[in-house]
Amino acid sequence: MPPHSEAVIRYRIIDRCLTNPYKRYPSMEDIIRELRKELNADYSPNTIQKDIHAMKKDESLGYFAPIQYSKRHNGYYYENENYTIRTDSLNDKEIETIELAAGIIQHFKGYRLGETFSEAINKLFSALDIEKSKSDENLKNAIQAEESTYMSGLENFDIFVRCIRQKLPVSFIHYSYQNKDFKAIIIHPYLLKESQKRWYLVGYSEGHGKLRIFGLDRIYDPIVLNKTFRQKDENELHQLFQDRYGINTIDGHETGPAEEIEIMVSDQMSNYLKSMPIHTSQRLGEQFSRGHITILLRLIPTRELISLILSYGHHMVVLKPDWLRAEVQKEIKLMEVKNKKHFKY
Amino acid sequence: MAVMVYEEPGTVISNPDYKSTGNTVKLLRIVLTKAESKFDFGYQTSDYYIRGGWITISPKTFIRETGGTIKFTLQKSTNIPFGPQKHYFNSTIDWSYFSLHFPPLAKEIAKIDLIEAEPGTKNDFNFFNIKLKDHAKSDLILI
Repeated sequence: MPPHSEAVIRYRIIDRCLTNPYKRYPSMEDIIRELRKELNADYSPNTIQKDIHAMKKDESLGYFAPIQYSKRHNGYYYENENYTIRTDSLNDKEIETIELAAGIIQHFKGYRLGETFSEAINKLFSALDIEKSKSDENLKNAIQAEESTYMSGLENFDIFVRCIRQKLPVSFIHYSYQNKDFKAIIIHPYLLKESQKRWYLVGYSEGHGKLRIFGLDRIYDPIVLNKTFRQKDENELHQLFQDRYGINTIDGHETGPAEEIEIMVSDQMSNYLKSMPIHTSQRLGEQFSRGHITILLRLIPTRELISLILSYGHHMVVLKPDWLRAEVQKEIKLMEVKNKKHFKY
Repeated sequence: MAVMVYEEPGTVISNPDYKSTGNTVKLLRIVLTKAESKFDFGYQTSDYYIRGGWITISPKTFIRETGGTIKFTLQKSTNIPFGPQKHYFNSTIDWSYFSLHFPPLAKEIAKIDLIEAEPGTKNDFNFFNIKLKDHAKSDLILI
């Protein structure tokens, strides 16, 4: 059974203390201080002694570290000066894999999540002794993910994660872009969801008396409340997203039910839609000899779905339902009018 | 916007009942602690001004128990400047979320007024009969 990941991180920090050429023979206090600095936690001498014992004797770890104690220097050292658990425990392929994974996590750092998350990643890099700059550079040459821009409201990400995990209701101020109106909301938060590069908080809103979704960019000043948490209904939550592409509903069609949507896709785009469906409900309808196809979706149509259809230009045509076709037509007409050369807002 | 951290746990009143002279500013929430009384507002610009106009708060703004005479003067504001400074908007769809901080209130007070100017015009931020009792409240906690 692999050792607990936190213990492994401690072993690595102890190893780093023992191989630090600028501070030889680290004492118990030195090691505890270094652990506190790196992991932001206090460990007892007893824990460190157990860790050292495990590093020396634990067969499943396989380090068999030659750790000795010097009474003269009042500190620990490796009997073999060249010893380190680093090189013995990870081969090149394992290091490369960890660097890749850590680099992908690094991609999310900073602009997506809160400070705590960034600090945690820094600690992980440090604990794993990954040369970050080198790793970043290597990764950039191999993988280029789509970058997100900063979204306002992400500074509250951490607090919502904690409230979801600790089951704590939250009071916040919400501004609706559509209604141009403010409301004080009390939410029992269940989930943070990303959609189209935006983050949303999902939970039971006391004022609305039902599940609601709030864009993080429209949330101000969250305050944690000391009141009974309303447990989530997993089915209700699952239903909320199962039948949707995107988040933002269309007036009059907010609650569904999911509808059958049929879309004609041109021969130039049909392979793209076959290789990567829009939604898990997508099925292939008809296939025509010239390559164009129809696809069938079972969804509650959203603003995001209309945007997606429009983004394909003339390569996508809504066949049904009629009301959705009319919505797309309405948008196209407005686009035509507003994109005329001398149109004035 | 950073999360407020209070020295003492207190009470939160969401969407309180009140009467006011204008309709562009809404009193959204009141946070009552041992350290202060914080009032959270939302302001929505209107078509009245070409670019939405401006907002400011008089440093003489105060709260008092409805029908009472003791005034508690504004101590601090967040996201709104003290007059004569002004915050100018850029358009008629701009908005602002701001807070006014006053000294702590006694628990027994049931209703208060928040007054920017007396007798005041519809442009002043005047709120009357703000209900502190008989309204759903929640205790806040620190995490």
